[in-house]
Amino acid sequence: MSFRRRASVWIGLLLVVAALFGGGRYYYLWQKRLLRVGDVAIDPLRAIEPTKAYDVLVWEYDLYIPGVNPELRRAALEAAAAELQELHPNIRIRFEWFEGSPSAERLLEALEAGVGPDIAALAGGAVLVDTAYQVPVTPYMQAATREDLLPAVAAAVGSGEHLWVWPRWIDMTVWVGRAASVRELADRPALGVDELLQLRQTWHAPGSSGSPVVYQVYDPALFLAVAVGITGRSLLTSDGALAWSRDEIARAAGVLSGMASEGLLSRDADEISRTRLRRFYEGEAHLMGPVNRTLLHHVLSFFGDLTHDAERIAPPEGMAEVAILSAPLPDGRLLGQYGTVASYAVFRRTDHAGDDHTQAVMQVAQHLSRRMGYWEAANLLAVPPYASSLTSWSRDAGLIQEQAEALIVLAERLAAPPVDAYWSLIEQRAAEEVIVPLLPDLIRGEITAERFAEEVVRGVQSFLATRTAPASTL
Amino acid sequence: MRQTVCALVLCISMVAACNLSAAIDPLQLPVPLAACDVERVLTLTSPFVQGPDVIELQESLRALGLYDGAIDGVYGPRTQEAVQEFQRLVRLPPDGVVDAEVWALLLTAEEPSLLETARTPKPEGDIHIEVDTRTLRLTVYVDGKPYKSYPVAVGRPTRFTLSPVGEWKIVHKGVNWGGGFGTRWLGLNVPWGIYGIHGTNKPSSIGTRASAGCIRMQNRDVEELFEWVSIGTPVRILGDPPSHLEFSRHLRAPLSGSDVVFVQLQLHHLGFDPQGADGRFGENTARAVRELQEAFGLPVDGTVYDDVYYILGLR
Repeated sequence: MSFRRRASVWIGLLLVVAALFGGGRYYYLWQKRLLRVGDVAIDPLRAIEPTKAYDVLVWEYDLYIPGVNPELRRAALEAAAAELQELHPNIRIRFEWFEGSPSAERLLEALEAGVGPDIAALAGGAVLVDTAYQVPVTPYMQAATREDLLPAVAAAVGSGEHLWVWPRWIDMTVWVGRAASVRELADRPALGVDELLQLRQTWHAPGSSGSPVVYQVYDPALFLAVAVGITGRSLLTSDGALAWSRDEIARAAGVLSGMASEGLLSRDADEISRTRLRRFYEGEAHLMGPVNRTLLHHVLSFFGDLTHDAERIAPPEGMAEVAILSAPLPDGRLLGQYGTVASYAVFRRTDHAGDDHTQAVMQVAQHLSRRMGYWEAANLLAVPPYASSLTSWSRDAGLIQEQAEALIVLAERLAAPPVDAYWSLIEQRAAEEVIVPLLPDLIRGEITAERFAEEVVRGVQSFLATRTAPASTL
Repeated sequence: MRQTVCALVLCISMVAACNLSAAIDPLQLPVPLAACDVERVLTLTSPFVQGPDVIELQESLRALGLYDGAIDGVYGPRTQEAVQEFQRLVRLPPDGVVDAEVWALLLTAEEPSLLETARTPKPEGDIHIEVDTRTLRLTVYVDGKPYKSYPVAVGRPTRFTLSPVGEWKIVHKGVNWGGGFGTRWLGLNVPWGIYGIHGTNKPSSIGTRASAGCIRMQNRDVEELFEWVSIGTPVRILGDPPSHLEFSRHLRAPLSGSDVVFVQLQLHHLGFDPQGADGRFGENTARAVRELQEAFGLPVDGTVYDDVYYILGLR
């Protein structure tokens, strides 16, 4: 064999190896980028076909927004959908309406039956419904968008390498104080119990009676917000275990029992829970909690701190009457803020409609989350999840600057329930069924903080023992 | 005759009830109280009976060509003669006594000439009625659109004579009760008293706050309306919360009262539908209250306590 012939063979072999290597690498990368959703592999880089018609079904729910007719929100949603349809006339968006956010159980039933939605609006802590159907959004999210997302929100809707939903807004339960009563110490979001005791000296007018801090004992957030503030963690871990130690629970319980024994909290939990608003509005009480976003709207409106101007051109001028705070904490150090993230989740159909269909659905979900998420956040006094939106939101929400800043500071410390919708729901039920019934006894002084902690640990663990996670969750 | 007897029985019962209503807060009582106009019987007495009802009587007799004396509001011999003449014409005993039956016949006899010009065709479609106690107008809506509007008289602005603000239904239709009720009666299902829309023998009171709570119309107007509506026709009476209402009761099923009406109206205004504002705290109202309590993070029990009143803007 001549040299030339041998060289040709070698070159040919090298070319074949190079081709195999290149093809293999391409195949490897292609395989790597595929999203495994149940028994379907989806290519997130697959583009929308301009000539193909896409029919996208969105499950939406009527959201209560104080002072806003539900029809107005529906119209805003339709307008947002129309905007996208102008860019993509081949994408048809249909809405199916529910009274409240559809439960994970209902969604899963529909998905398994082949009648589920492409997109579902989620709220109340639900993020991941089922890995067999839910498509992670990370590969569809541009790097700039990912960087814009508040880190606490990314943690609240993500697990491992994936974000599971397109976030809309951050829903928090806060405390409020009469600004004149707490202003001296309200340069940070949390008040310590010792500080409250100092402030009480200035709060008690001669001859006045009643406790200066009012609360709602049947709201699980009364205890959860304190415990999350102390630990920086929600009640359950992502795999459904109790996330707090007995000592941590006792420390959180000690905040409430200590405030009661010092006279900051009334021991008549039931009566105070039904009259706290009156006491706060009439000046008898100086601090009130927990306050959800709807009640916050009422409180700020009552004190004239909120601009009701339909155009929401500018925030009200001057000093706020109401200070927005976290729950009281032992030392005023806030490690976590109790709250959840409302979002849009994307699902594949039982009979997968194609990777280009998923791409179209992702575009719709992203668009709605940005457009409607912002609109809702401004109207709900919920914080938008993107850093770049915060400045305009402060203005559009009609809040006084210091109130908007307080909400943002709290949102940045968000510590949400487990990503898995199943465990999130279990956490909520455990709080309602185990913790809430013990709180009146704790505040009345009938059980100590340590005994309360023992009861909570025992109760939550026996509650968890009867529940096992479905196979297709994390 | 049976009709007359019924009317008289009703009148007597209402007189009794009206006396009661002056002493008892209607908010606190589940028993029905009368709240409508009751007419006195006119006859020749010494001294002569005087008053605006005598003026109405003289005007009615003059309109029929039976009386040409002074319209002075004094029931004297000339007025009595005219009444007797009228009674002979309508084949009643000519005793000169003007009771409910005489009033009804007088008012009916007045009407034909007026009816000729006022009639509007009976509307087709779903009818509901709105009475605005602020503008003193009654408007008939057909399929949600205004069809015809009438001037009315509403309750005097005192604690026991205000017209019942709320969302009601017509539950009774009556003809020719006479006296202060005029020629037609449309009874409403107000739980704390007997209220209705009716005619009058005091046409000049229309456009004022003069009644004991009922909605007064010109007889020709109420006769027209009477033909258009049926049992069950919705009647919405609009108005502001009266100043005497304190909104302090712990409201829960099955209480009723005008404070319940305003709770229901405010629930609806805030987006929690209690399925009407009928003053009865039933399951629909309790459900709407529970929804409001959940939305605002209040203790959820379906009753109205202090903080619920604050959320509703009633305190």
